[in-house]
Amino acid sequence: MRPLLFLVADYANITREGKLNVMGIFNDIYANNFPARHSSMHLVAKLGAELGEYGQNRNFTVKLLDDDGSQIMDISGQFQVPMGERGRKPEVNIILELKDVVFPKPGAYQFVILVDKDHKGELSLYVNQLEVPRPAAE
Amino acid sequence: MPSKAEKLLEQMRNSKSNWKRADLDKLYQGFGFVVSHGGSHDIVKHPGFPQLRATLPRHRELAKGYVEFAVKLIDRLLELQKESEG
Repeated sequence: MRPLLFLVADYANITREGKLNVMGIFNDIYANNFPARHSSMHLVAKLGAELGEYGQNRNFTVKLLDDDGSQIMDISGQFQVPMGERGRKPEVNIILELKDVVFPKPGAYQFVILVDKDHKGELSLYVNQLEVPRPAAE
Repeated sequence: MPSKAEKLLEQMRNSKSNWKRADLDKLYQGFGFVVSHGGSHDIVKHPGFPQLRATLPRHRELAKGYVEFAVKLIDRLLELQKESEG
């Protein structure tokens, strides 16, 4: 599988016609306090299939790592690669809704996607501490 | 004359299979990246361009996606270095 798209957004879905809708792509999260909980985000991956993969089952894993390489979470699943139609290589869309992800501290976090244990892409997500406004001088 | 890391990059560009973790460490370090041993994964970062980062597996044999990603990341580094020089 070839990585075609890997991003995080506020919302994503696939229509009945197979269109991929993505709203509010972002790379930064801001929080006042840590650990910070992010109520909902959608991780979107689009993978392109190679000829020998048509019809096969594939296992995927998405990992979230912190700045020090410690794993915060991982999610695994399976998909079947569609058959190619009209001479076109099929694509697979993966959408994962991640709810209540807790970020222990500010920093650069990394999403990594693996398909059958092979690396397919990485995505940085920067979690920032909001600056507390200083009280006005008297 | 190309450096050892530049030769390694060209070899990896031509063939992504049958590389070992130690080869990838040499490639990254040869281009100025720092490999650190993290909590559960190893992390590669470039001190001059902190947005350039990668994770590395701890097993010796490497799936080819890690090599593909390293080649792309180093190509991006070379672009950024060229931009900052120009």
